[in-house]
Amino acid sequence: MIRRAAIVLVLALFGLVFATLTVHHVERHSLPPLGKRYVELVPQELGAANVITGILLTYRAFDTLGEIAVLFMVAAGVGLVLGRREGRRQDLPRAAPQPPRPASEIVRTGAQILVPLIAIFAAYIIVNGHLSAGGGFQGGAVVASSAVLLLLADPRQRLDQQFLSSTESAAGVLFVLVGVAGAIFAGGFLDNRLLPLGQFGSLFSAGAMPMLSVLLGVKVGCELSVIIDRFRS
Amino acid sequence: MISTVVLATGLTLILIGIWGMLMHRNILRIVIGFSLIGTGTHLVMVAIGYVAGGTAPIIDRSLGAAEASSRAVDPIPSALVVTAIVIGLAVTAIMLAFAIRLYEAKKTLAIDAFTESKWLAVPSIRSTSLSSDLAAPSCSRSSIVSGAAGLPPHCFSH
Repeated sequence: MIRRAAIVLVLALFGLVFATLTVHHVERHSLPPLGKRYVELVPQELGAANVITGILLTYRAFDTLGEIAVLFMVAAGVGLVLGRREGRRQDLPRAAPQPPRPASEIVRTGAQILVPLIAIFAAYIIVNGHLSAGGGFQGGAVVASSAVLLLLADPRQRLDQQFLSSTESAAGVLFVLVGVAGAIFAGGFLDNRLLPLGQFGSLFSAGAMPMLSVLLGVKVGCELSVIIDRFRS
Repeated sequence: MISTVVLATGLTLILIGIWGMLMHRNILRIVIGFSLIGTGTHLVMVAIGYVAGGTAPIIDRSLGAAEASSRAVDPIPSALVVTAIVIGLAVTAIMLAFAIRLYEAKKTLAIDAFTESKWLAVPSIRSTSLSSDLAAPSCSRSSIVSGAAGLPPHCFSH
């Protein structure tokens, strides 16, 4: 009773704060100074059409590197927490686990058609990060969704975790190496002017950004697929 | 106007998520509440970056480079949210992994079954002198988990 009253009080106070925020919110009519600089600089200096990808992969690329590290830690953490269940299964007093029920025919046939299409769509999103909406993170998440579909369609299927782990580590190392090469040959760490800027709006433009997008997409996709595969069974 | 609507939706989602985390006793529902708070926060961040009558900050046929600085939306909150969404997925994965382990340990998903586990770490704290003025837990049978690390030292003094 008192617990419920305390919860209602907390929610009422939060609601009061949020209502004040909403009522006093005024829409901007012009960009703030930093946003304006980024919107002007990214097409000029970096040759990228998508301002957000330009920020994520060059001006604030160090944050992207930090997020890659966080994803790697989470993948290692999930592996640690869920990892040794196959060995310890005999300790737990429970009935023998039933073999997973095979998926229905609709799911299996649909997966056969959809998984290649999803993979192509993910590759398109990754490679087009600097031209239109997209980028490494978004494409990597779509790759992971195709892994979920695969595992749903065939519960006995095992993803090759060794291959995925070594691919993701190689992609991470290459990302850092491209960054260091940017520091040596161009303006600074992870500067994308390492490669020629090319023609604005074409696929091979914006210097090293398509390469960084591909490495990022491969790394994020492998990581999320490994995380999802750990939850199987 | 539109950004006020999105802001209100995001704040409402955060409120629903807080309610879900406080009210429910099932671990999975608490995880869902946490995920709702994350999604609401992303909406709030994107709504704050909106410029009246603005469009996405992508230079193509519909938005030339010359007029971009007057008609584009603030790109920085969108960049932050791209990162935050992926991190939210990863943190939810860790929470679900812990939920699986907790279920295997106690065969229940109710968070009340784990209230006693907080006292297992207590004996290591009690051994220092600073803890003498902390409120002492009761030494009665109901507060002791069978097979626990041991009674707190203050239970033996009388």
